[in-house]
Amino acid sequence: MTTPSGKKGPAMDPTLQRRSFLKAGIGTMAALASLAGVTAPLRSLESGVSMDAFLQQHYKRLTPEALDQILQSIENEIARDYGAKVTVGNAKPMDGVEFGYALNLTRCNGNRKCVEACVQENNQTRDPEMQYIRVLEMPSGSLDVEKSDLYFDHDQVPAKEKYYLPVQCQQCQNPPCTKVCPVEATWTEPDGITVIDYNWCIGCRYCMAACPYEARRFNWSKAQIAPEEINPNMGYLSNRIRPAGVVEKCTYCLHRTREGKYPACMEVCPTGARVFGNMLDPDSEINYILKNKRVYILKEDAGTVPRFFYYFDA
Amino acid sequence: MHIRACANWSVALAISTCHLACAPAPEAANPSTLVVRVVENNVFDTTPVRGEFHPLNYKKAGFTYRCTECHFSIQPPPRQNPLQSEHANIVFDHGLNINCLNCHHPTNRDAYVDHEGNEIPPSQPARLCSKCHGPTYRDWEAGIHGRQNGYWDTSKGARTKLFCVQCHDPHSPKFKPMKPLPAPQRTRFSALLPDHPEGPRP
Repeated sequence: MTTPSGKKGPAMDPTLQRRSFLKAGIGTMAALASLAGVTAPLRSLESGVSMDAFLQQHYKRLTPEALDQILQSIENEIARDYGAKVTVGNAKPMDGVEFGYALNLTRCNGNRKCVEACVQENNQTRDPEMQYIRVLEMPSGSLDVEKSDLYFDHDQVPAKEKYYLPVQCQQCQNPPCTKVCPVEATWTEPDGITVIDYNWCIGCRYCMAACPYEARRFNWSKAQIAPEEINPNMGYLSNRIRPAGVVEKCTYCLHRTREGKYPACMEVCPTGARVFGNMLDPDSEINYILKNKRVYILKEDAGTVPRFFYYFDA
Repeated sequence: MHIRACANWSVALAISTCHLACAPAPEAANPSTLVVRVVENNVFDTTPVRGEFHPLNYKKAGFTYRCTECHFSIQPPPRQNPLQSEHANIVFDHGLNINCLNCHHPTNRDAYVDHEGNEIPPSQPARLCSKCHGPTYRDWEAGIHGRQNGYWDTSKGARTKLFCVQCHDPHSPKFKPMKPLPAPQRTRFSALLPDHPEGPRP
């Protein structure tokens, strides 16, 4: 090039200087706007997801101190958002315990008390309505759930020529739902309960598609529960009020059962159709059923190996 | 650390896509479609359907009588249909078991009777039922017939067990039909059910 150096350099030309300034300015503006666009979801987060929860580690990698801090902040958030004083615990699996559930279909009469007890115990959102247990009305003599009716409405149950099949999370030994989770937000605990870290779930709903029992539910919006209906005994992995945008499910009431109690659905069953216990204890009721009754599991061909057993009785 | 950052960004993206995905289901935010919950509020009441267990006696006008207060001398026929006098309100529907004295002791009316003619104290009604309902009694003993409440882990707390008569009327033992709680009003995908009865199945 023949351009003389020093006299016509870009720094000396006021036109060029203005152009480069404008370019840089527009570039910066665009970058800022795109940053704002990308972080928009952060700023419009529902109040159910705090920045603490957003930046926290996976449940399995939490130090005890960090976990205590998180439990405290969840309690504070519920107090702020719902006006209820609650305690959020973190019950650990017990050694030598594997939970199992059995349901006597000859006894169940479809009264749906278990459904409502579950809703109240587990702080499920009342609006939009959410229920973990689905009581299917089945035609007598058939095991075909395609012929069932979930929305039966009778003055009195049991109806003629019907029996009732309550379905909830089967706590599979080979769960398809945990395998499809892209972020490992759901896993099976040593006592057999498949749990969800609600602070880690990204709400992709792959697990809902994978579950053959339709046991998982999605929080479409902020949970609506009246303060007086909130169950203050909460667990991090079970019945604390879930934020919007995450999946939840039955955990056999692990905040109760890990303290030795029965699950809520069993406590209220007026027909005594439900039996719960430790399958590893040879003297437990659930073990008696597995040894002495002809139990069956739902969708055996799916290979999920549930820990939930059904049986008929004379 | 890097993985964690990725996961956090995927949270942000998922939430933003969730907002888009939520758009077709706005009923939740629309107060005009709020679901009114019609549910009894005593759902956690664990009282059995026939109430607390009480021993064999007779109540009238606020007084409680032992059966032998009348039956010290009266010897009724082994069966009487329809039931009369103080027993007229008993609905009797116990299958082939139609004789009063199959269960009630012929001479001591404050007790039940076993197969040998010996007395069964009224505090142990399950022994009486086991005369005919052996398999059910065996299951009840094992703790799988009839509801249990309390603690599955008895090292942490007590477990309560119901007697037969707390769920079954001994004179008409078939478990009575009951009114179910309301049906769900939404599918599991949270969509409201349309009014027509052939609405979407789950």
